[in-house]
This record gives sequence, structure tokens and C-alpha cells, in this order.
Amino acid sequence: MAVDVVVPALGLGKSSGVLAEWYRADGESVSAGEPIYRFESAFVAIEVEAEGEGVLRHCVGAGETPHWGEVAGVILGPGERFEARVREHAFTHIDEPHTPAPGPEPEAFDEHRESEPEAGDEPPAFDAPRDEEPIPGVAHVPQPVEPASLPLLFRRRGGPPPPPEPELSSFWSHESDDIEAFQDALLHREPPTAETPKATLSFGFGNDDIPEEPQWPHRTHDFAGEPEAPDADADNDDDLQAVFEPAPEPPAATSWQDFEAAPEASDSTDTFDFQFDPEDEPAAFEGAFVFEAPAEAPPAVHSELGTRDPELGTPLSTQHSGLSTLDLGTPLSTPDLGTRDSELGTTLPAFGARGDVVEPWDDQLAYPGPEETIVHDAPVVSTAPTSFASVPLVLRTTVALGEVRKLRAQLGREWRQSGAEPTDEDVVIRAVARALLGVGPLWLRGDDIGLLLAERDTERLCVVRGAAHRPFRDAVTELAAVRKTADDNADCACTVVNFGEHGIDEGVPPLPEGHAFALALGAVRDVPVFEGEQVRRGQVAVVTIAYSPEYLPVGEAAWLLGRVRELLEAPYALLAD
Amino acid sequence: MPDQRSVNVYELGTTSYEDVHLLQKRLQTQRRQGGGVDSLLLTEHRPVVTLGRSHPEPDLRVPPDVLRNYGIAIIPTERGGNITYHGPGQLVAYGIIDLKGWQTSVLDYVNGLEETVIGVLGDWGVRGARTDQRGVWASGKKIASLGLNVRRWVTMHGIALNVDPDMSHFDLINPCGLPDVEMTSLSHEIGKQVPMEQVVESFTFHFARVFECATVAVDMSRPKAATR
Repeated sequence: MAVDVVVPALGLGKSSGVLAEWYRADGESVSAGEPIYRFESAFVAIEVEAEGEGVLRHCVGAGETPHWGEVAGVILGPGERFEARVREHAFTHIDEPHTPAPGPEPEAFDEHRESEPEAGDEPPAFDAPRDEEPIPGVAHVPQPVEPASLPLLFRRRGGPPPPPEPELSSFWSHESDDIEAFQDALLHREPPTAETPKATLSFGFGNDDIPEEPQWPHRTHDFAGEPEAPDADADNDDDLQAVFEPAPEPPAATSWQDFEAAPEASDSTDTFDFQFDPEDEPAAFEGAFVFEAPAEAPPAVHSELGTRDPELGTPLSTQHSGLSTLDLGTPLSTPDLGTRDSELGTTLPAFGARGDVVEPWDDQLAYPGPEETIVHDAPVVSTAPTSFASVPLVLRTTVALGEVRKLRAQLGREWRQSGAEPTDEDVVIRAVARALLGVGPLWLRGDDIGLLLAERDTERLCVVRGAAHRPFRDAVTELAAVRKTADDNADCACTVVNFGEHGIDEGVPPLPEGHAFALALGAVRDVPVFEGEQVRRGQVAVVTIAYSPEYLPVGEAAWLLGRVRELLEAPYALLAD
Repeated sequence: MPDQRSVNVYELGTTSYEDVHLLQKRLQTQRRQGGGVDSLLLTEHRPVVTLGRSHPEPDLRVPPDVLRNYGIAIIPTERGGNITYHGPGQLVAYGIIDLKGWQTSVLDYVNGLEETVIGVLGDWGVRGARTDQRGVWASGKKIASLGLNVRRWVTMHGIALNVDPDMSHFDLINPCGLPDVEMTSLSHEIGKQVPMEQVVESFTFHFARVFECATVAVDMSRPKAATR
């Protein structure tokens, strides 16, 4: 039974690559499971294995760029002919989408007549494979086939087109004698409709996600029809069994104890146990990973996930060990672990982690203390969260606020008419609004709460929750009511929370569902600033961003926080407009 | 969505390329024969230059003798892509993943690896980005290189993130075969040293986040010698 060698699918958005190299020459015998060619695309080299045993025939040459699903070659069984397989493709994959026009029935295709050689034919443009000689060990039944009748599906690219053949053209279409024009039209036809065969791909993504691009005339490939991996080269596996007789596979080792408990661990020296592959060098591996048996249990490995300060590049637990820390709600259990904080261990504020909108300044400020939340005895084997779909990520940085205080005086003059008194929070919001201009498009969902932060030439919706200064909120509300803009119905982008009003140095802000991110400003602290031999007093605060990677990509969030820090440390850019 | 993706994470420390290369091949062979588990190998290599399968001739900026004097071997591999450098201070992540079991396409896996590195960079405030070239770029310079080999939908090789390597070694080659590419590192971008342990931890977290898989940390600490 002939087996097609199909170009593998890489995934959405990538339909082609380079057939880099045939490992087996045209006409060479191959066995099942043996790599026969390499397909390269996007820094990925895919070794395509033979799915059957027989004689390999190439349909696509090395260096060409076939599309996925295209037949790159055929593995012929005993007694099978390449041309016959080609004709089979012509019947099963080319004539289906083509609906003959109403009228007299086209002339019935006569295989025998098709295969009759005609005197005076032009030599075929198709690079005919070497089929003339019988294949050793394969029963060969001569079947003279007219080379020019090979459909273009198997024609090597770049070669001259075959001459029009009256019989074939009548098979293709009785409306046109120009097979080239017909096939060109076929190649540029509209995407397949529901009536036409559609590519089926059950691997990697659903069929509904397959772009509506013309798959014709490339052969469609159904992954579901593929043999399972262990069975694909059952014969090969049998050979392996016969040669190496591998031991029954041990359970996967996940710790040193597993290695020790393995049957091979009875000796004082343990090695990994692997099944051997004839392509590898078994001897070279010995000694590469050798583990000596332990005299006692290995030490625990702490592998809790922690958030690092992007500014300082080190865990916050070592940089801000003296800070008070906020626990805003019920600690998350490990499987739901989302926001990572090495200072808090693996039990982190659930506040906002799953979209809970809870006011943090009511009665939830009870600080349990780090001793109750730090995991001192982390398990040797840790398991990461199983789902990250709605879990926000957290970044934080320390910002010098010396210049912000100077800016507030200028903002006060700007806001004199509204009667509002600028606060640090106001400056932060301005910085966020300005930084948002440099962020890529946000995927936002509707939220009916929000206040419009109005700047000159910039209108952004923000939620100012728990703002300590009522005049500011009133002023912004009034401003929002007056200044109707195109963004009036825009979705809410972010929440800004000022933890500093509650004397909290830092904390993870709540992230309402549908919001791209939430920003929290911690309490302003005095720190010594060394300038040569002089020491002066500086002011810093921790700015924390909790964001949903679903709406705000990770790289954008990192850039956003860095930009906010830049604007806060040199805030006069906020007054430029 | 598969039932439950899970990957064993091996933190191998500093290793020679040949050892881990052999380990990868064995894990991949084991995996595509239906055994084993999906694995993520995290390591730093001793200085070495590796070649992609389709580029057997090294694209060097210096004569090969210079590399020999540095003690840097040139090793051909079966991965895609072109020439690259590995060395201490560079986190290399090799995934031995059965993509069919994960119901993930090759392209999604490649994108996921890049997204993982972008997440790691984000933890340090660096905005990583993709371009029309593969890999991850920061400030217009390449910070992570990628190359994979897939056989029967089981991957090997992976992605290399420059945390704080000796950047002068990249001057010996044309990384990825691009003569004008500029390489950078995480430490260079943020202006300070970054502990590799934290990068490994961050990579593991973001790998699990991006691929929505559970990670099982394999204890690779060498126990004390037995007193028998």
C-alpha cells in the first residue's frame, strides 16, 4: 500500500518552509520510522519519518518550498508504480472540487487509453523518476504510462510546463483546451466553499481556526488519520526490542528519592535509565550524569515563585525587608497561585487576583505578619499553578519622588480654578496616562465605573478608587461631565490605588475583572541619599502594577512601569503640553 | 485542551554542551517512542559554538584558530537556525515536549518560548519584543536566540537567553548568520548583574504560565557521598 509523505503543518500563520534535505535518494528503499527528509521553517528543523516501508519517490525536490499538506513524496509498496499513484491523486484530489458544467457528459476517462503511449510525444517536462529499472526485491509489473499525462500536482516547481495534452485537458475541463490557463485559474480560485473538501487539522488548533485560504490543489492532510507515534514504527520498535531488549520503563523520576528507589539504584552509583536509540552513542553517556547515593535525605529545595524588583533586580524580600506589607484577603492556595511575591511566600493576597472587587480600606487591613505566610519548609517537589488564565502578574519598582513634590506646586496653580489640591496620586495618574500613550493597543472590556482623567489633548479613563481627596474626584467628575470627547464611551483601562494614604508601604492592588492593569502607590518614605560626603534626605515610594497578560502583554507592562517611573522622577514632561 | 500538561524541570547548572546534547537526544528518543515525560532542561553551557543542521559551515568573523585558542569548540547539531554561541551567563532552555500530547502546533510552541522569555525580561522591566526575525529582541538588539528540532512531534533544543554572558564571544561569529546583528544581555539592558537562579525561577514560572502546564521541579542537587 503506497503511503504519501506529506509536508507537516507548523501552525497558523505559517504555511510553508523549505524542504532542506532528502535523507534518502529518489528510488531508495526506506523502512517505517526512518527519517527521510528534513523540513525547515522559522528556526525549526522537522525530521519527517517514513510512515511505511517501501521505495521512496520524491515529488518535491530539496530546496523547494512546499506548503503544508502537500505531498512531498510517495513510499511505494511492492508492485506499485509511481505513475499509478500519481493518477490516483489526480482522481481523488483534483477532480472532486471541479464540478463539470452542465451539458454533455465529458468523455469517460479510460485509464488504459490514458496510459497508452503515443508516438511523437514531446519529452516530459516533469523530471520523470527513474522508474525504468525494476526495483530489487519488489515485484514489478510494467505499466507504461504516458509521462505528459502527469498532473501538475506532481510537477517539479520551476520547470517548464508540460505541453497541453488533448486527452488530459478533456479530463480537466471540456470547456477549455488551455490546461495552463485552467490550472492557473484553479490555483487562484476562491477559497474552498463548504461543498469543496476542506483542510482538516485536528492537531494544535481547531478546524474552525484554519484560515480560509485556498488549499487547492495541495493535498489536505488529516492528522487524526495519522498512526499513533508508538505504532508508527512498530517494526522499528521490534528491531529495537530485539537488539537492545530495553528494560520495562521505570516511572518518571522527579526527585533524588525516585532515582534512589529505582531498580537500577541498588548500586552505589546511579545513572539515568534511557532507552537506547541506534543513532546515539550509548557509551558516551555513561558518567555524564552520575549521582552518588545519599547518606541522608537531600536538603529541601525552595522553589516558590517570587517577584523581583525590576529596578533593583533582586527579590524584594532582601531589599525591603523592613517594609510593612499588605495582605488584602484570603490567601490563595498553591494551585491558584498567581501573583508571586517571595516576601509573602506562596500565600499571596487573593484580593483582586480573581477579579474580586473589594475595598481594601475597610476592615481588611489586618496584617498577619510575614511569619505566618512565608513558607519555611517548601516541598522538595513543587507544582506550579495549573491555570493562569485569569491570574494577574505583578511588577514593582521604587521611585524617587523628590521632583514630584515640586511638580505638585505647579499643578496646584494649574488646578486653581477647580479648587482641587494635587496629590502624589494625581501625578501618578498623569504619569500613567502619559505612559499609556506609548503602550500598544489594549484589549479592554466594558466597565461602567470610571472617572475621566482629563489632560490637555489626552483623555483617558481611569478608576480612582479610594482617593483621599474629595476635591480631586469632584473636579475630575465635573471635568468629565463638561468635556465630552470621542473616548467618552471608552472602556475602563486601569485602577489607581494609593496605599500610601493608609500608611502602607507597598501592596498588590486589586485588579477588577476586565481591567488591563491596576497601579498602586505606596507610602512615601524618607531614605538617605549620599552625594559624595554629604547625606541628604530623599523620598521614595514603591509603585506596584498588577496586570492581566490577557489584556496587557508582559513586555508592555514592564515598559509601562518603567515609563511611569521615568515620568515620576522627571515629572516636568507632564507639564509640557 | 489536553487533560493536564506537566513538565519535569531539570536545573542542570553549568554543563558541557555535549553532555546535555546527548541527554536531549536520549530524552527525545525515549519520548517519541511513547515513554518518558515532557522535560525542560535549564542549564548554562561552557563556551561553545553550535551550528544548525542546514548551515554546516561556521559563519565566523575570525579565523577558526581564534576559537581554538579560546578553547571554544564548534559543534554541528540537528536543530534549525544558524550558528550561535553558548556560554556561562546564558540561560539555555531545552524543551523535550511531545507537541501532539500537548495539542500544540510547532509555531505555537515557538511563539510560547519567545513569550516566556518576554515574560522573564518583563520581570526585570525590560520590554522584549519579536521582530520578523525569530528570537527575542530588546532595544533593537537580539537578547534570545532560538532553534528547534522536531521529530515525530517531539521537540529538542530550545531557546537561549543572554543573562550576563561574555558578550565579546559573540564577536567571534555572525550570530544566526546575520552579519549586522547586535547582541545584548539582560544585565546590559538593566545595568546591573542578575542572579541566574532568579532567571531560572522566572523562566520556569513564565513557561508554566504561557503553556498552562504544571512544572515539577526535579531535585538535581548532588547529595553527599555515601559512606558504605
